[in-house]
Amino acid sequence: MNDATARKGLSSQKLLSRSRQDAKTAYAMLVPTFILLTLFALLPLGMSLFKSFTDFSFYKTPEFIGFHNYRIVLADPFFRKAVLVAFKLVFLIVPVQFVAAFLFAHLIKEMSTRIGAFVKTTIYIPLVISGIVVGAVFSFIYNYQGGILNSLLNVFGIENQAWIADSTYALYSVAAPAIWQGFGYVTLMMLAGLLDIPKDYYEAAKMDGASAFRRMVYITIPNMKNVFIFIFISGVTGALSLYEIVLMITNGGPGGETLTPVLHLVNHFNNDPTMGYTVAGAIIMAIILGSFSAVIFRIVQSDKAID
Amino acid sequence: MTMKTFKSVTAMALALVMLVSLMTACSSNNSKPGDGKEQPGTNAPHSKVVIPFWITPQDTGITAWFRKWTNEFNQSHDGVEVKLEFVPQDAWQQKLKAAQSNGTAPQIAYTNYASIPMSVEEGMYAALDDYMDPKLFEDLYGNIKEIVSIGDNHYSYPVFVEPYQLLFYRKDFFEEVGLDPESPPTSWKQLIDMAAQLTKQGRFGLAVPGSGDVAWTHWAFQNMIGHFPISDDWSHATVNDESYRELFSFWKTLYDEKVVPKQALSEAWDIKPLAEGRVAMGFNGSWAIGNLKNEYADIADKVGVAVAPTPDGITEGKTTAALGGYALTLDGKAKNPKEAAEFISYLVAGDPQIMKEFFETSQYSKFSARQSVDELINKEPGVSDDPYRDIILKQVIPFAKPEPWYSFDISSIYGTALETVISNGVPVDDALAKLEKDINDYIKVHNYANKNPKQNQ
Repeated sequence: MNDATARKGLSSQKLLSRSRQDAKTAYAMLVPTFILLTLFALLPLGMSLFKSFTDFSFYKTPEFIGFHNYRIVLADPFFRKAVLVAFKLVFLIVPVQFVAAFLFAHLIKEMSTRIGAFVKTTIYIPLVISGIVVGAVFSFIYNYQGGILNSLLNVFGIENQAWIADSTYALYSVAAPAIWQGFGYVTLMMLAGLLDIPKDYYEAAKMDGASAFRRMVYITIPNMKNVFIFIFISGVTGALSLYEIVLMITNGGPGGETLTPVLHLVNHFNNDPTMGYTVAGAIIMAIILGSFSAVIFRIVQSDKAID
Repeated sequence: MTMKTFKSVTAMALALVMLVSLMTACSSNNSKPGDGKEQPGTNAPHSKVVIPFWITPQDTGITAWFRKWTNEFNQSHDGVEVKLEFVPQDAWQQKLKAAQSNGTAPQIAYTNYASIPMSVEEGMYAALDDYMDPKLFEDLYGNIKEIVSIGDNHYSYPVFVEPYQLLFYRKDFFEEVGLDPESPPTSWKQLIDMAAQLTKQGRFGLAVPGSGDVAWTHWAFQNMIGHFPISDDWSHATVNDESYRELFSFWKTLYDEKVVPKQALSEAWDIKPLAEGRVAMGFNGSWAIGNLKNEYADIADKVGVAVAPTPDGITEGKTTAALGGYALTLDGKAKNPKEAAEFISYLVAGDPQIMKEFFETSQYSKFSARQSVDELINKEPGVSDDPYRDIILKQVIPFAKPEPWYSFDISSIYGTALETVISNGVPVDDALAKLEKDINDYIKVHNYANKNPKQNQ
C-alpha cells in the first residue's frame, strides 16, 4: 500500500517535473515572437500613443498638447465623412462577398476533384494581385471613352456613364473590385468550413427526411459559425481599411464620396509637415476597428462546433 | 548531458537562432565600410564629406544631366562627394519621413515650392543665405525670388518653374470647323462657344482636370480671379463673392453644355487625349510641351499653345497661371551645410551654361528662374522663334503667381465643394456658402488665423 502510494507520488512528481520542463521549452520558443512583437508592434504602438498627445514633428522637440490632435481629427468633416464612407463600403462589400462565396463554395464542393482544384486556383488569383494593380485594371474598365463597361453599354445603345466621376456610381465602382479581389479567399475559407462538417450529419438528417434547406439551417450554418465569425471580422476590418483600390480608381472623389479613412490619413501623412493629425487619426481608426471586432465577438460567441 | 538538459539547450539555441535570423532579415542596413554605402552625413574613407541628394525620377535626358553634373562636381571637389539618389515619387514621403525620424534625411532634396514655407516653420529646411553668395539670389526673377523667400532669408534655390494652366488646342480641328487656328479663345464665354463647335461624335471640345485634380489645378484659376479662397492672413474664407460665383458657374456650364467629358479622360497632366484627337482643346501645364515633342512629335505642329482664357477676355498683362516647379533645399539638420550649399551653388546657381543645358534637355518645356540663363538661351539660334516658349515667357510667367502654401486641406475642401456642383447638382450659391463655412470651421478648429509664415515675416 505504502509502496503503491510512494510510486504514485513519484510518478506525479515526474509528471510535474516534465510539465514544468515543457512549459520552459514553450516559453523559450515564444521568446523570439514576444521580442519581435514588442519591438515591431507594442513599442511603436506605445510611442504612437505618446506622440499623439504632442505636436510631433521630426525637427522640433515635441510639446505635450493634450487631446488637441484628437479634437482636430474628430472635428474634421472629411474624417467623419470618410468613416461613414468606410461603413457604407462594409455594407456593400461584406454581405455580397459573404453570400456569393457561401453559394460558390457549395458549388465547388459538388464539383469533381479535378475541376474543383482548377476553380479553386482560378478564384484565388485576384488575392495575390496587389490592390494597386486591381485598381489600375478597374480604372481601365471604368474608362469613359473605350472602357470595357461603357463599350458594352454602347452595344445596347446606352450612352457612356461616368462610373467614377458620378456620385451615384462612384462608391459601387470601388466596392466592385474589392468584392472581386476578396471573393476567392472568402470562398476557400467557406469551402474549408464546409468540408470540415462530417458527412454523417447530412446522411443522418437525410434519413430523418430533412429537406436541403433544413439541413443548411440546422447543420451547415451552426457548424460554420466560427468560420463565419472569422470571415465577417476580417471582411469588416478589410473594408474599413480599404485604401489602394480607392487611391487608384477615384482618389477619394467625386466630392469626397469615396474617401476612406486610411486614404485620408495617408494624404495627411504626405502633405502635413507635422505628424500629430495622422498619428491621432490612426489611433482613432485602431480604436474603431478594435471596438467593432470586440463587439462582434461579444455578440456572437465563438465556441466549439456542436457535436 | 541528460536528455532534459539536452532538450533545454536545444530549445534555447533554436529560439536564439530564430531570433537572430528574424532580426537579420528585418535589418536593411547591410553596408560595410568601403562598399560605397556609407551612412549619410558620415565621413567616407579618405575624410570625404558625403552629401546625400535625393530627387524624384526624371526623364532620361534630365536624369543624365543630373548624373553628369553631380559627377563633374565630385571630380572637381576633392573633399566632397554628393551621392545622388533617385527616390520614386510614390515612395518619396514614406522614405523621407523615415529618414527624418532616424536622422538620416538627405542633406539636399528636390522639393516642390508650395511645401517649403510651412516646412520651414517646422525647421525642416535651413536658410541658404549663411552659406551662399547673396549675389546668386539677385539673378532670380522678382516673382520667383518671392517664392523662395521668407522674410529676408532664402530657403531654397529654384531649379525651374512650370506655369499652368495654359490652353493647348488642335489647330487642325479649328480649321475643320471653320475657326481661325491663330485666334484661340480669350474669354470663358468664347471658350465654351468654341468648345461647343468643336464637339462631335467621339470628340469633346475641351478637356478639364477631373475630380482627383481639381483641388490643385484650380490654383491657376484662383490666381486668375485675383485671390485664393482664404484671406492672406488666413483668418477667414474669401469665397462667397462674385468672382468665385463666376468661376463655379463657368465650370458648371462646361458640364451642362456637354463640351467636356463627364469623367476626365486622363490625369490632369497628361496631353494624351488631345494628342490622340479625343479632345480639341485642353488645359495643361508647360510640362505637356515636352510630352508633345517627345511622344507625339508627328502631331506637335498641329497643336497650338495659348494663354488660358480669362473671365473678361483680357489676357495681356494679367495673371492667368500658377507657378509650380522644384527647388533644391538644404535640410534643417544637415551635417555639412557649407558643402551642401556649395553643391547647390554649383549646380543650379553658378555657371548659367549648366542650367542652359538642363533646359535644352527638357526641350524648353521647363522654364528658368534665372535671368542670366534665359539671356544665354535666347542667344541660341531658333529658340527665340519657338512660339510656345515666346508666349509662355512673355505673356504667362512674368504675371504668374505662386501656388498657395497653406494646408492642402483648404484646397481639398475647395475641390470637394466644386465637385458637389458638378457631380451632385448642388446649386452654386449653396456650394459656395458651404465652402465658406467649411473653410472658416477649418480655420477655427486648427487655430489657423494669422499663421501665414509669409505674413509674419
